[in-house]
Parts: sequence; structure tokens; C-alpha cells
Amino acid sequence: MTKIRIILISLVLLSGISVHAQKYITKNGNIRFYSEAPTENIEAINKQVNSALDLASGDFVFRVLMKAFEFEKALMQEHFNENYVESHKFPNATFVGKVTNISELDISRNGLYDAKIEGDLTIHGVTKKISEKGTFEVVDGTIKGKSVFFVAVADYDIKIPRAVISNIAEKIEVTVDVSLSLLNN
Amino acid sequence: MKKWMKILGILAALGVAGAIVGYVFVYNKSHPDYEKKTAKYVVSAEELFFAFKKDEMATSNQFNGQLIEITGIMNEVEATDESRIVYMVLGEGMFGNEGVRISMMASQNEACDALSVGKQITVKGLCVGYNETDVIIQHGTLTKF
Repeated sequence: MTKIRIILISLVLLSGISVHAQKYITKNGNIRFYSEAPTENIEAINKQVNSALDLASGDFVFRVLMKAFEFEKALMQEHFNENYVESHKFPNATFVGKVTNISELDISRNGLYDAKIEGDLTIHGVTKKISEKGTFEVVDGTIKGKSVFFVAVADYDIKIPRAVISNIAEKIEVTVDVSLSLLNN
Repeated sequence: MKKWMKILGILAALGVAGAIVGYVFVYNKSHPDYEKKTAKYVVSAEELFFAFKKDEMATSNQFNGQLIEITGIMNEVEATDESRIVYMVLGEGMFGNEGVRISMMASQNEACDALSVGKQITVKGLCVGYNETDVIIQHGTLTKF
């Protein structure tokens, strides 16, 4: 059983029957990454990201299928999956963390709220603690979460061959855009 | 001397031709035409979903990156800005429903909007994996509906 599943089960057990009234999810979250380098710019987008936010505890999780990233060029997509993130060995990236200022988010009031997010980001089988900022926008009971941050390729043991090192940025810009709805069950 | 120049000229021309071929057919090669390609596997939604649940790694090795034809009961069509997601629901978990989620090609929007809930359909698409909730299929096209 994976860490993310254990945490989700714990969320349910610890929060009792009221948990569903406070859990917001999406299965259509967007994560885009962008690499700006001297030789070329590379962009990819994944539109089928799973994410869940528990308003009571602030627990915030993401699960991202690496093979679901789509690139403009087929060759880039092949290299990304086969050589860099090795998606056959590490099919998913995950984030398991917390919104540390969740108490400031008022689901009953439309508006824009700052979000402070901390947790473990796992990519390519390597887990690193991250601390990032973002925003939550409450719109009629849904929560639109956005964040832009940078990930250093070397931190996650992703090896770029010397021949193409000028094609890929050392730090990749990651843009997260999710629209979370109340889980009704 | 002239002979050497000729050889050098031919080599240079071959080099330029190789670079053009490499750029067009390797670097810039297009994505497969998933609508026209033939599926490698034919499975039911149940077989696919429960195979991933039972042994994710072995099933990933077999199906991930492969074009497959899936038959199952259509339970939901979700509309996004550009396309539709067809959902064959096979269970329930912590993210709500679980099953096979097929992101359809934009050319299928009209046909998807006309589908009836509870109808058996067959969809061809690229399997990209299992996220512990759903089996995710991309570039879906309806083949029987």
C-alpha cells in the first residue's frame, strides 16, 4: 500500500463521518512544465491529475501519471518517458503535504486566498521536502488552486546526457492549476 | 585534385541530406495517428481495471504506451473546454468513483454528447497507466456505440 493511500485512509478514519463534507477533489487537474534553455524551449501538459484537499486538516495530495504528459514533439515525449523520468520504472509522481494556513480559507465566502504549502514531492523515485506558495480562489463552493514553482532536475536524480544539456533547463518551471469540487459520497 | 573535390562535394551533400532527413523524420516526427492506427489489444473495461488493481507493474508493462480497444458500460461523459472524458465506472474509493477514464479526441465531441448513460460502447485509445484510482486512456475514439 502506497504512502499516499495510507494517508488518505488515515484522513477518513481520523476525521470521522464528517470527512466527506470537507474533502474537495479533482481528477482533471492541470500540471504544465516549461523548460527554457538556449537551444530550445520545451513545454508539456498533463490534464488528468488527481488531487484532494481536506479542509479540516489541510492535507493536500497530488498523484500525477508521468506518461500522461503531452508534448508538441513526439521525440521529446519519448525521451522524457524513456530516458529522463523513466516512467516505466516510476509511473507516478506524488505530492503529499499540507496547506499550513488552511484555517484562513473560508469556503463559504467567494474570494482569493493565499496558500502556504509544505510537503514531500516525489519524482523519479526521489522524495524531497518542498515549501511553496500559491493561491486558492473560492468560486461558489469550488476551490481553484494555483501555484507556480521551480524544480531542479538534478534534485530528483534525472540525468541529462551531455550532448543535450543545452536543450534542457537546470530548473523546470511547474504550473499547477486545479479546480477542486466537493466529494459527494 | 578534382576527384577529391568531387568526393568532398558528395560527402557534404550526403551530410546535408542526412541532417534534413533527421530533422524532418526524427526530431520533428509527428505523433501517431491514433484514430487510424489498429489497436494492439482488445479487452473489456473490467479486465483492464482489475488487472491493474491486482498487479500494477505487470499490467503497466503490458498495456502502458499501447493502443487498446476497450468495451464497457458508459456511465458518465464529462465535458472539458476542448474535449470529452468518457468514464466507465467499476468501483468506488477515496476519490469517489473508480474505473476507466478515457480522454477523447476533440473530433469525438458530438458523438460523445449523443451517448446514453448505461450503454455498452467500444473505445480505442492509448493506455498511459493507472493512478491507483483509475486507468487513464488518452486520444480515445469511439469504434462501436
